[in-house]
Amino acid sequence: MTASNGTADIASVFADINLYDILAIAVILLIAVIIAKIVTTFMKRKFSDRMEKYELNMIIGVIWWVIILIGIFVASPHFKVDLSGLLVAGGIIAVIIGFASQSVVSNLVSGIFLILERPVKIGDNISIGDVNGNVEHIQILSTIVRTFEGIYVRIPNEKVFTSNITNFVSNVARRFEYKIGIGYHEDAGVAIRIISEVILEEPFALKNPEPQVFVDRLGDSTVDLTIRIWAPSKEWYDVRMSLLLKIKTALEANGIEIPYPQRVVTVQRAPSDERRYGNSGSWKDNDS
Amino acid sequence: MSYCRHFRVSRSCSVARWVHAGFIMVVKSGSSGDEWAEELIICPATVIQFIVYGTYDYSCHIREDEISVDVERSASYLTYKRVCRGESAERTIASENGAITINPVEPLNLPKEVTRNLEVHFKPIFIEPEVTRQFFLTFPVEIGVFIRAKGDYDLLDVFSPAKPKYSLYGPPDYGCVTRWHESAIHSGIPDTNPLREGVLDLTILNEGRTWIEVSRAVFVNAGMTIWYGDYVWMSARMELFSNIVAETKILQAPEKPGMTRSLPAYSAKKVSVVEMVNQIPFYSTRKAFLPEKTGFLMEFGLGDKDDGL
Repeated sequence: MTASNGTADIASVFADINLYDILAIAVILLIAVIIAKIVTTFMKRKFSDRMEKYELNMIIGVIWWVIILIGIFVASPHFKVDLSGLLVAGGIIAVIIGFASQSVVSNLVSGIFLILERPVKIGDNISIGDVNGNVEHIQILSTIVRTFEGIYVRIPNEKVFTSNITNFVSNVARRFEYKIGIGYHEDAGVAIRIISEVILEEPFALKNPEPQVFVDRLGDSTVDLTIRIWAPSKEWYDVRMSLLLKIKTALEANGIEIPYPQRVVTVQRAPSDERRYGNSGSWKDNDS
Repeated sequence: MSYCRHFRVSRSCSVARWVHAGFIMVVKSGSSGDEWAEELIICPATVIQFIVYGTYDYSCHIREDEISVDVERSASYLTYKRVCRGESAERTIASENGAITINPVEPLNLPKEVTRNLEVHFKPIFIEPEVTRQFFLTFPVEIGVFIRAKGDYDLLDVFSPAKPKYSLYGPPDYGCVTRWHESAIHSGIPDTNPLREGVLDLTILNEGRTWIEVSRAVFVNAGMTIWYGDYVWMSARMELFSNIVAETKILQAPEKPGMTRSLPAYSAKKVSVVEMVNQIPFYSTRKAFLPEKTGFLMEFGLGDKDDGL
């Protein structure tokens, strides 16, 4: 086919396009651009604080072109071009790409749902499966967690979405508990008062819900006190770490013993031992 | 016991204080053009503790009860030192001409900022339907030290001789952490230590048709305007809609003319420009074009029975 013939073919294709078609194409494309603009602007406003900027720009770019392509597809009858062959080829390519990128698409969709549902946020203290740590990034395909040991862990979003997620700081406050054993000879009421005073002095041990200090169990070696304290979720671990030492120090300062595990053994003499030990209890050697 | 303290209140005014036998003699000296004036004030030592609050130049030395604030100039920089209840802080300042402002700020910064809400708890008040009543309570204050130069200011330090306590308003999932304060109810302006407490003028309106029991008021720090003069002052309004719902709002008005409006610590964290409009600082924030919600909707109860759990 010569160049002149090709030009003639293109000219023959567009020869059927009239002014109405051109206007229709222009209007459809204009509407597509307007819709794309509205959708991308909405997405920028909605997700700019939830996603990384480059990821958001990438998604916005994809959405923009998808809408424009849909507009071209809708306008295609006015081009007088038969797209049925293109659709068949496109369908085959889509199936191939679909199989090849199954996990990628799964992660992508999971990422979108994670961003919409927001079970975790950046900075949250979470547990996903066997990974515990702080959320560093929520990307479109994966979530990055920094473990408490400072190790970088990348979790595919599909796994995040389908796993049990424990978010330790999702609620504004949380409760933690201590168990402290005091000696049986100590006054449990005094110990409870001392512990309550220490809790009262701690700013982040919340006033309401009220902390609880009570005798929970009469153990083998100790009278076991249970202490339940609510603290702001972001501060609970610091409070938990510092308060136990303060309680221990206060109890010791007031002479309350926190005993080691102990067992009292009572030795009872058999009547036959009277002759051997005598009344004084000292050993009498039969030979002496 | 008798001792004397000298410190400058501003570039043109200095104050000397003698404390003797529980009384304070204050000589305020200042110049206005060619005139030099001195004013002698003698009053009980407990009355003028508020003298800590004000604007100072870069050579101030303040001692007050458990507090000391010093700014010392060296060759190329300034050193700010503060001691409060045995806890000290030190900052290095690179500035030539500026001022230090010390004023009461919202009590939401210590030991660290975890909330925007202040909760004042008091003995239950039973409010008759469709009635408005005014009560005087107290609220905790923290002492904010601001550094100011060339129309800009920033928060240099926050401290308080009072111990903070926090609480939870509402359930753990939807509620909010609050800075908690227990207050007595007063019919008139109570005596307070301005370094620890301020006077909260609370007007309660019962807009419902039933008696309502109220024992706490929760406020948000946005728009929390604190004034100081003889005492620290904040004015608020609480509208009761039902037994569990009310709205609180901090009012912008001082108790009387002559009170000074505090620079807020909350805005200082994002304020870029401060202008003086009619001797009152006007705060312009970067988000000023977005109207900030200054009221707080109490939807988890107004009394002690509603713990949200």
